[in-house]
Amino acid sequence: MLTTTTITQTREITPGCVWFSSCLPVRASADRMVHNHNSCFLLAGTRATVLVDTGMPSAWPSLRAELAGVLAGRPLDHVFPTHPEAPHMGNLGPLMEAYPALSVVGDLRNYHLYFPEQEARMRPMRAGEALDLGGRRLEFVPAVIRDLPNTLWGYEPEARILFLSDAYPYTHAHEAGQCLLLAEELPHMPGPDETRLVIERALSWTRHVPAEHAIAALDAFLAEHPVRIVAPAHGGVITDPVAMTRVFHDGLRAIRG
Amino acid sequence: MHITELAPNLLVLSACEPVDGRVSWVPPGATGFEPYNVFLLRTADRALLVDTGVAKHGPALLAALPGLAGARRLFVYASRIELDTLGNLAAVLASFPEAGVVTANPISPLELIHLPPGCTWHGGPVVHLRLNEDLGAVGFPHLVALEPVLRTLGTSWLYDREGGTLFTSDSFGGEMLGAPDMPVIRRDDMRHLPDAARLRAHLLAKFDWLAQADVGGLAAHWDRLFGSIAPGALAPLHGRVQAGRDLVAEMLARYRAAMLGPARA
Repeated sequence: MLTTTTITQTREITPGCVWFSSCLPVRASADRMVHNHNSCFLLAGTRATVLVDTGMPSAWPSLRAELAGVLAGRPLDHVFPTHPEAPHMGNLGPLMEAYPALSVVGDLRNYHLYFPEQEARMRPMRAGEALDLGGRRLEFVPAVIRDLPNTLWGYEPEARILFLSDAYPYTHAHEAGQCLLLAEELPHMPGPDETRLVIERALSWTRHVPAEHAIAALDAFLAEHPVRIVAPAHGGVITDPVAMTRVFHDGLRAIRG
Repeated sequence: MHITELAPNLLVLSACEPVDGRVSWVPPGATGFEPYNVFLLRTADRALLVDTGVAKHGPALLAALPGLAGARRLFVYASRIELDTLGNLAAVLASFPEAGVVTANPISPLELIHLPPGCTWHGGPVVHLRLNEDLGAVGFPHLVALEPVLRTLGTSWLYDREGGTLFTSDSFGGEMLGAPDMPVIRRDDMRHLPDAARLRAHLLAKFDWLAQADVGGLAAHWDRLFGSIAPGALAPLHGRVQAGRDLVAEMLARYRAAMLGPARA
């Protein structure tokens, strides 16, 4: 069981891109608790800002304050929920209330049922479209690893940041101060066991689909989208994509043995 | 909101939406009207609401629920973490401050909603079930949480061991209504059933990975599950409810074929 009270912390991972990290304790085994992120990211251009995912509703009190601090008076112009599960879009309601001018972007099927009074603020996007933020853009790209079909990833080609939602997840040790560390800064680089725990809980299809299908799709995607920074929702930020891609591959392969 | 009795002490509360390509779980090209269902089981002193539906239908649900629950203590079961299941949970808890919350998901539904300002809900703590555990802790020992054959993050089904209804969340909702005033419950009527190809298109709309799956494990899970239970009704959150032993057996056979795919059925 997961417990309550999530605290959001922030870290600028590259100029104009801020990581909001909220962690939940997860029971990995009878006697071992670990943490798992439910992160979101602010990407700021010269003209506009976009929040990629929204974090968990239980993190809203701290996220609201941290976000306002980072924006420092700038408006939040867009929110991009990668897919409609509560850990990714659960703060959409209060965000729309707090920032009355913002629009919601992404694959927005179903949202007219979830927010029937906010349809005018919905701006559906398809893979291949982009949001111009001024000096940088956020491209909407296919989510090749996902839980729901109506998922999109985000790609920022200038800084080569990939916002990939449920992919590249991993847990980290339940110790103070680790929630805002890059994967490469942790005492031990996450391994297949750390990523496998989240993969098999969050992506149940991995028990039934041969890992090589997903790995081939991911590798083809990465060949077309050079990445320097990987920004997952359920793991810390990664700055060595090559190493962590190998770990993620191994985690996928470990599910079916 | 249409209220229909599926079985004694089991109500289906439904609203209807046109199938217009705006929801992700209905395949392209589908037509008709889609029922959105939640379910209310009642005993002498308790009522269990199985999921809470989408926010659009919240006002109608909140208008109907007090009269249907009466003086019974309300419990809410959350089968998933998407907003077609949790969409009205906060509003229900605000209206029923003593309501209990039950789930088989390791994530507490309370982590995933915003209770409105001034909400006086005090029905906690959330009751977390393990899969295959019954709901005796909240007064429904004949209900058991099951692991779905096809699922997204943390989904569970509920099975009524006495009444035979299987509450299937986002599974088995592949039949739409031809007109909004048609009955939501298909009862014993074997005419014009959706074929396996249509049902497969519906399955793939939600579980698109099925197209690449090694279905051996799914078939084994299916056969193990439906070898141990014989549902008399399939109660999905979207789509028509199917009722009657023969009808349900036929629909399950079609869904199994749909899940396995054209070459493997």
